[in-house]
Amino acid sequence: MAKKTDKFESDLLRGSLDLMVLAILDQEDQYGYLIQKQIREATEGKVTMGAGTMYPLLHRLEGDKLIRSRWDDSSGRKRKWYSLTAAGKKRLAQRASQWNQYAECMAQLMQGWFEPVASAKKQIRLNKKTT
Amino acid sequence: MLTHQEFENWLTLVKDQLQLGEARSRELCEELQDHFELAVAELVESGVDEPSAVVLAIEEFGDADVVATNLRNVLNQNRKRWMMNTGKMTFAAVGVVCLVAMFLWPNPPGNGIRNAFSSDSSSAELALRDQSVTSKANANIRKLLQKKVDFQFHQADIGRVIDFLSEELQCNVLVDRALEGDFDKETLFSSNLNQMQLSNAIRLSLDPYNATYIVQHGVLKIISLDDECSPYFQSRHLIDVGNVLGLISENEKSRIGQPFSRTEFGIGLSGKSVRGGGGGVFNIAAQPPLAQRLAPANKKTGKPDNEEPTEILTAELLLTHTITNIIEPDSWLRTGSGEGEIACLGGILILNTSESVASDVKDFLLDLEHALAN
Repeated sequence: MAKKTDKFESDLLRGSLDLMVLAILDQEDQYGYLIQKQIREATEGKVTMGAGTMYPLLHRLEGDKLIRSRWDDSSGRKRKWYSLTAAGKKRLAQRASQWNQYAECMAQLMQGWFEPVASAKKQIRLNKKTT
Repeated sequence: MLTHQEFENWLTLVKDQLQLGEARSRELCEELQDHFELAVAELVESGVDEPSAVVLAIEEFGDADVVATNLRNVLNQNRKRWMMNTGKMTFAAVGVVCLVAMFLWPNPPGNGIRNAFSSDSSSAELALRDQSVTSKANANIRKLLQKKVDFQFHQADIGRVIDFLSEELQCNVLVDRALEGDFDKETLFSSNLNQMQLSNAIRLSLDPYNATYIVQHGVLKIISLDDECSPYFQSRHLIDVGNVLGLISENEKSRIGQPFSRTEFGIGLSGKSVRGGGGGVFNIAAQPPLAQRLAPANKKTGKPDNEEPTEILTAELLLTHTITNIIEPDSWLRTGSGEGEIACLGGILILNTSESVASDVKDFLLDLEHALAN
């Protein structure tokens, strides 16, 4: 069994980083550094997306019109903020549904090896309560 | 701002490989610099000494060559896509302009084209004529949008809806790419509206799909509601307000032509209740200047000491301020929160705003004219 602090294999992460960014921006507008920090904290350090990976990803999502950016200096510091577009919300909903189904299929196939989804949900609820 | 030579070197390496324009390059550097400074600050806060924090932060960015390659691929891809979309739009717009020009040109087409190119100031003249032709095409679409139609579709594919609109409005209809997922070839469109003004029918029916429309470059474009207020999607609207201005001058003759202080007066039409285009009712009474009420009068002049420079109130000013106060106040540049612009020249109201705000303004002007006349 993998330790809690072990990082996920990069091939496991492939294709899911977009979804992570979209999910974070669905909660509220963020700038690059905060997006990176939230991913790190939400995954307890198992996913660390380097800035060199994240900025090309953000620019790609912007080019796909799934997110949009704006410059804001109301905090006293000029900063580029990202937010989710309607197309981004739609894409997030589609992908989240696919992920749920995928996770259920994997749970079915890997009985005995797979930690039940229910316990993961319980853990998320506990994490939310403590924060 | 922190300046770290190592990071500057790293940024220069990335910039050199990207070869972006100055503005784009500056934006990208500012974004990366901001990230770098936050990363260093957090590391220092957690107890790492600053030189080590700088090294760690740069390591976290990764190899400059790899980052530059990744960014270059993404930016090239975005640029190609943008060029393709712009190319398609331009091609469609030029096609429409050419078609409309052929039908509307006052002289025989051959002569008109020859004259335009043989003129000394040919390029400027041609540009003005092109603009005028596009404006005519936009005006034609907006006129056709006023007619009443049966807008009935049941689980129809988007192609059918576009064909219908294209035929009714005699123009090209485009769907913006940002609507992918909300309104695309997989969408099944339903609407059941009878004998309704086409503009309202389109707007109401598109609303559940988070979409609306604009008329731009002689084309009806279906766009996301989120993009509606973007300056790129705003268009020019000219509305004849000669009658309304005459009625305002008559009804407000006690105030028109009088000096007023812009900072102290609540500018707005007084005395009558008028239903606004947005559905609200306003009734703004004339107020005495706040300065006169609060400031102690100067004993010699009898005027307040802190009196500010005043200007003369005009019917145009009353009208434009009433509109920006009543119709979508957040959408105007004047109120500081939007991009919409408004001006009144020679009895013509000039708007640069979204299609829906312009439509609300037109409705409001009709109501206002009716209310003032009665």
